[in-house]
Amino acid sequence: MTKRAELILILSCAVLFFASFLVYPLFPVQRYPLFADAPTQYETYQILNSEGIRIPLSLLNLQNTYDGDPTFLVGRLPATAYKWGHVLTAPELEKHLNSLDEELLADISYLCIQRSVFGTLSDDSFGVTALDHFVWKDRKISSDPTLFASSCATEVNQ
Amino acid sequence: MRWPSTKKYFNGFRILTLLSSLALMMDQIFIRWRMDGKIQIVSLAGFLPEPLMTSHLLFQAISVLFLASGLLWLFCIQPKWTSILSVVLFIFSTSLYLQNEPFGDHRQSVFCFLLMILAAREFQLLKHYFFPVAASIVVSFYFLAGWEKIFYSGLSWVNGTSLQVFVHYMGYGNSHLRHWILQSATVAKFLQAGILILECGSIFLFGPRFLRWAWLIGLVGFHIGIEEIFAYRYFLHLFLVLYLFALPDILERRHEKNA
Repeated sequence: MTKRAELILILSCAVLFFASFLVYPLFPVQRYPLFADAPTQYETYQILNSEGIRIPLSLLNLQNTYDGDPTFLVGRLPATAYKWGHVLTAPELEKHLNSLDEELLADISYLCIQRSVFGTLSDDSFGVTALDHFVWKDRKISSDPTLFASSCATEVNQ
Repeated sequence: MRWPSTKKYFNGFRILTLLSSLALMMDQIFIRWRMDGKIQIVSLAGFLPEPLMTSHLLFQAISVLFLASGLLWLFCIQPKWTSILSVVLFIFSTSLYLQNEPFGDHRQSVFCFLLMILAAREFQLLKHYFFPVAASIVVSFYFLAGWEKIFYSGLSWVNGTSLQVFVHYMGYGNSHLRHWILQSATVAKFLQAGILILECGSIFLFGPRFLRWAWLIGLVGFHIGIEEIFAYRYFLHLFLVLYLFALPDILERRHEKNA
């Protein structure tokens, strides 16, 4: 193969690669967007039922599916209301919980939700910037601390 | 940048690439699959019927076949046939893996393309530009990752907080580097600026010797940092970088000394 023919072949392959890269990457073409986003905070949830048993977040479709790829271009994408880099408001949380499967909701009398929001603190270190407590009862969400203290197990209260 | 034209240097690269691909495949075999969630097409295997696409048994069989074929190729047994077979099996197996993996894995593309050009070489193709193409494939991994950050977030990516978020959420609790980053957003900002310069400017690996070595040292630090915080097993790429960009200089210096 001549140098010229080789060069033409290489350039043709490069054009194919970039076309796939820009339009829709299919393996063996892959994009590398690992940690390409710039979130300024993220939150974690701890949810207990009325018996004080911790409920897996995936059961409530509230698990964090972020894996470093902000495009979420993975083979399997589980359904979740969790939005990476965005803290859900109380009405958003209520709307999501009310939209869950009726069979699942029938077994839950109420939920105690503790949410920790992490971000950079005023001293430049990283830590909890907000600690929110909610009680989801009778299809309504409440952030009343008295209701939370009276309804929820000590594990969450701590 | 000039690469040695000796058969020994080429064989070294061939062995390194094949062993790395085999190691990557071994790694993939032991990662648990995700069986829930919406299917998104990220590989050609995504077009297969669902029972085939989600068959872990099929994936394991294809992966084992690749390991066998790759080993035969490594020992130059029927290299023409085993090279083609290995490329096809690597693409098939990895496509199945990527369709069912529990997280975004971006390590495979580089090795797949390197296997392709090694297979082309078995058919006497790519004789003149083999190493420039191999080096471009390896550098593209860093270069594109850097520019993805710019296109996705702009220069605001260097905000310190985002690196704190990443290491807090995904890093290992006993990592020292993670601890330092979490203690100070300024340290995080400094590291982020370094990462962005290193990745976007990885093309300087093709530049003059002093720039190349500056980038090589930076990339070694970058990979050590990734492994110390996340243990993502991305170090196979570093071996290729060192082989392609550090070893030729070392060999040349030794040659000059001997002369």
